[in-house]
Amino acid sequence: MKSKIVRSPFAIAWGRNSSKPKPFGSWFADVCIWAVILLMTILCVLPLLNMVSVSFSDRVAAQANEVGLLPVNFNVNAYAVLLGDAQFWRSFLVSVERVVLGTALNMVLTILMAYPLSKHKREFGARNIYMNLLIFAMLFSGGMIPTFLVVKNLGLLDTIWALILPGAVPIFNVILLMNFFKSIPSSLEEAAIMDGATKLKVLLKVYLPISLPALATISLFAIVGHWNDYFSGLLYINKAANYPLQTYIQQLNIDVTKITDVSQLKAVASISNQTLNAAKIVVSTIPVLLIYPFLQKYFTSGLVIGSVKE
Amino acid sequence: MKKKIFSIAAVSLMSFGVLAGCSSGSDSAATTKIVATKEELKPFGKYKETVTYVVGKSTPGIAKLPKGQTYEDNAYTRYLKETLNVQSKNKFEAKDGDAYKQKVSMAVASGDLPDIMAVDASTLRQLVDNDMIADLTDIYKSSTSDQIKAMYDSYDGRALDAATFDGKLMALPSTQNANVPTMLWLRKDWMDKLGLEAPKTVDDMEKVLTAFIQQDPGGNGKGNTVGLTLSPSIGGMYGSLFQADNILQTYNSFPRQWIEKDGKVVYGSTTAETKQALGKLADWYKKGLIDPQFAVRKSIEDLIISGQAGAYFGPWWTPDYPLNSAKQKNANIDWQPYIISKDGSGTITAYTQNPVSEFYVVRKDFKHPEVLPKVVSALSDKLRNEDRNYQPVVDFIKEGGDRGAPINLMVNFNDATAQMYKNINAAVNGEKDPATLSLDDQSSYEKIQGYLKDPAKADANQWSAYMSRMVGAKLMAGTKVNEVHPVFFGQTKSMKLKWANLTKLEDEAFMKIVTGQKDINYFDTFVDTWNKTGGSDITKEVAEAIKQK
Amino acid sequence: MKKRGGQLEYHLMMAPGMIFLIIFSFIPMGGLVMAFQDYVPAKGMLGSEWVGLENFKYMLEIPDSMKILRNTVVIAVGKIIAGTIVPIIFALLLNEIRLKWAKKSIQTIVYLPNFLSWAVLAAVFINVFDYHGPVNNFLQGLGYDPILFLGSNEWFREIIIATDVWKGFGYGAIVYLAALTGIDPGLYEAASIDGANRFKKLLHVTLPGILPTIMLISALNLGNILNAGFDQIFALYNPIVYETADVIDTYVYRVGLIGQQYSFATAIGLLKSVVSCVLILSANELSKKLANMRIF
Repeated sequence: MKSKIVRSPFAIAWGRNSSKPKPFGSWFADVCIWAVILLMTILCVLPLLNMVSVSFSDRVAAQANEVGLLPVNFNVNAYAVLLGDAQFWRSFLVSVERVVLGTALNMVLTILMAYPLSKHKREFGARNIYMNLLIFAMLFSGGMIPTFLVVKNLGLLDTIWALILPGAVPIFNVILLMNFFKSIPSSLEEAAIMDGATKLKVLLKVYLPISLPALATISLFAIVGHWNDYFSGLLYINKAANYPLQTYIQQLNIDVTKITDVSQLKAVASISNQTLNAAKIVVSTIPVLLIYPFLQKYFTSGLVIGSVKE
Repeated sequence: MKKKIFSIAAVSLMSFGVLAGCSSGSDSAATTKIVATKEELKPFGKYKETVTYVVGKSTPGIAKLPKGQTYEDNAYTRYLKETLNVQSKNKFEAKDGDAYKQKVSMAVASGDLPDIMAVDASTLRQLVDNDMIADLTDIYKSSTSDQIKAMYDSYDGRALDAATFDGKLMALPSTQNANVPTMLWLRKDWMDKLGLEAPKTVDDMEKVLTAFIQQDPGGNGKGNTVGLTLSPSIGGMYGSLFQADNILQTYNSFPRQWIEKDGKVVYGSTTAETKQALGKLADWYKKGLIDPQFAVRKSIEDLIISGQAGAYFGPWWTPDYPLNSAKQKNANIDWQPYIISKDGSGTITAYTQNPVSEFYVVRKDFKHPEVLPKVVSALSDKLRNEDRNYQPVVDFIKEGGDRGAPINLMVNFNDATAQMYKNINAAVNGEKDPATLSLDDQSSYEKIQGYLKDPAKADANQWSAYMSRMVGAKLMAGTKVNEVHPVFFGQTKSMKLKWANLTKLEDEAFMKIVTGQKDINYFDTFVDTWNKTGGSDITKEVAEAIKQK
Repeated sequence: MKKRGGQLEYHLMMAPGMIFLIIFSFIPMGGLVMAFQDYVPAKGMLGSEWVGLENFKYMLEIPDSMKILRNTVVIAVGKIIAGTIVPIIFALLLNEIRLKWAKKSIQTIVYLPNFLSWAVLAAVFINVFDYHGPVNNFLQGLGYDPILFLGSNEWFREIIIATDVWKGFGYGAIVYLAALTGIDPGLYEAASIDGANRFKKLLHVTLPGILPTIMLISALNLGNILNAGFDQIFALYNPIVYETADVIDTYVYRVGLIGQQYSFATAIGLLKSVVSCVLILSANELSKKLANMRIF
């Protein structure tokens, strides 16, 4: 039936084989490529480097905007203060908890939905209805207040679930994974069904093992989405102590023109510590710095399809 | 099929149920009965049984509380528990500004208000219109201390008026005591180096700025010295940093204020005086006296802290920020405040501000509406005076705590800054016992003493306490001000949708004229467009609104 | 041929996700009625006054509505185009690098800017484009006059697009890098045997290999055509560049500052959704016709 397995685009689109094209071409091309890549990398690294040096600099020098790529009057005061900042670490833990629970839920729902949706209308009659509903839900939103009312009436306010449940179905990811599933040859599934496997079993035993690169990409997106989101924390969390990390960091912004009274200066003084703020930002990016290399290894391990299709 | 129809019906039912949750609650028309006894209604009367009240707590963002204390349990809440036997619980905690406003509107939208919270003028109006908050007229009389009443009265009724609807007091406002005049702050060490006189008029000021940028007394390198730093808003933001209001007022220009001129209401940004004043700034910009990059600056303080800038406008407290850091960076700098006036006499004209910044309201069905005035009386009167030495609060402040009080209603006398200067000065001169000063003033007093002992060795904190409380506040208190009272602070109907665009027009025109992208005659085009795109309608509405008052 | 098992199992798999969508997406969509009301939070959705198309009509009455719309589309289209091409080029170039550890570290480094907020980055870029900043120093070295980039209507949009691409290209490249690892090496070998050089292989093997991914991602990106990026523009703009920088979202924000204007914001949001919907569905049709590939 499906004879176009070999060129089916999404099987190609996601990692099925780790070996790469052999070096070929002139040294000149290599030099050019390296030059461009390094330039882009350096451009990305400079602002980060600046942030790191600010975090290790003298507070006043940082305020005077004098820190470039190297710290001025190197010290670790900011990190010492940060270490004792209970609120920061509590928020850090909230974020970690959110990422773990939220990503797990996202992945389960994404996988469960992507599989039936990858079927043709012939096999799953209601497929297009579901698909249209999903697209509709992706593009339209009732807005802040109605969603808030729902979350509130379900009693989720101020709980970690308010951060997780409203975004439980990442539709963008469902569409990505669905497209990947579509490219998996149906012969694999048919073989399993012949052996009497249920559909859930097919999904778990046949589809998932060969989808690791796609799953790694999607879970990276889910993790990053949860880690980076500050707005739902602002909206649904009522006690500052329960804020996730990015919401906490959001509080560091100040607008000096709004200060008109001496009583407001105390708050400014506590927030305008740029070295401490930089240290907070640096520490908050460490987890995402660690997670990517960890997921990278799955990008090259989806081997099964390569061995089947000929 | 059947199943589908059923599920759709269920969904829509649920949808209405869930979303409708907000319209209830305001039906009970009967006024709440006061359950407090006569004794308990007194400002400092203690309840027999603990009264718990739920507040929407505004915070400074990052919590600054001593170890082991929370917003619901700290020195202030314990003080209130001991004196009044009341205990706060927080419905939500959010940073002042947008975050807090959002929490408030969500609370309003879901019909689930905290017992006490702070709102802005437009939300107050909404809550009044929809009968969601309590009438405080009677309990203001019964449960507010005399001192607090005197504070509100010092604004000639303007403070409470703003919260009064149809003769009913619907909220207690936070007052803003006068902060004008803002002053011109100059690098005195640069002036001394160049042998410059203290400026009195706008022309004097121009001479100083010209010398600064041409002779580079700070050794910043050619072209790196900035004369006057300016906020991108240029002027009209009352009492805040980097506004050019001091120059504008010499032309009788009051941008962004509704003022009365020849018996008619006008918007200050559109007057011929403002045109003239902007012309002056444009001239300065062209000469390089104003920061050439002021349009794109987000952190103007950088220039001052790093020692690149020689002049800026700021209120009396600006030595605390950002000069404190500048002093830490370079102990040799010397910033001094000056008053610029039209004729050099030192008498200036300045607009006054909205006396009210925010409103504290009480939920309609709350059984103890008197808690609000009582807590305010306890915090802003009893604790400040009688119980000044209440140890937990003293420690709280010493440990750098901020915003422990469950209700952050600020109320003070209109001339509080001048009073502060008088008190501290008297203490410094030995005419007043320092122990009778308020806690904040005591800490300033100690730093000032430290500074006076040996000015050369004083640290940045001692220096800035001295410069703000003794030098800045003194100059402020001693300057004669002809006050111009803006006549309108509220919102009219057409403003709702058109004001954003008019403001944009105004910001853009001001900025382009000053930076020379448009010449000064563009101002007339701007006024014309402003009027045509809603400005003249809104002016009429404002005039109408004033008549009704 | 094929065993056509009951579809109940499929429905059961869809069920958990659909329940979440019903609760957190479809029920709140009742709130879209606000677009046709003068919504007052205290009155609620059932009590607020109906105003018909008033909120939509007002959009057309804004004196600068055309300018704002044009700015939005220009910036958004620029971002979509540059934001698609640069990550692809980067992924392709990185794919040519064979030092494994270098490749992995570079990948990780370039994706980091995605985690810095615009509020933080604005401070960095204000320095970068300062009169005395690196960019102007470079220009002056070449003999040009310094330019106030962030205060120039000629440059502001370009800078918005460029900095956005800078921030996002590493993150955007992930999906392509993942796709590249999946290209059948046999195809490269075959191409080598045919005598194809490096560039030809890129053109005839690599690009077609990731084309479906490119199409999928750019189609989904089309949905953002009216989102020019509020946080970024808000952090960097100023009154001088209003005429080129003011976009729908910044405008709505400023309108919202004067009292909470939920109805107006909802109306604009609804309009944006409709436009996105039309674009995404057309992209789907187009790719079905041209490439015989359905996105959905």
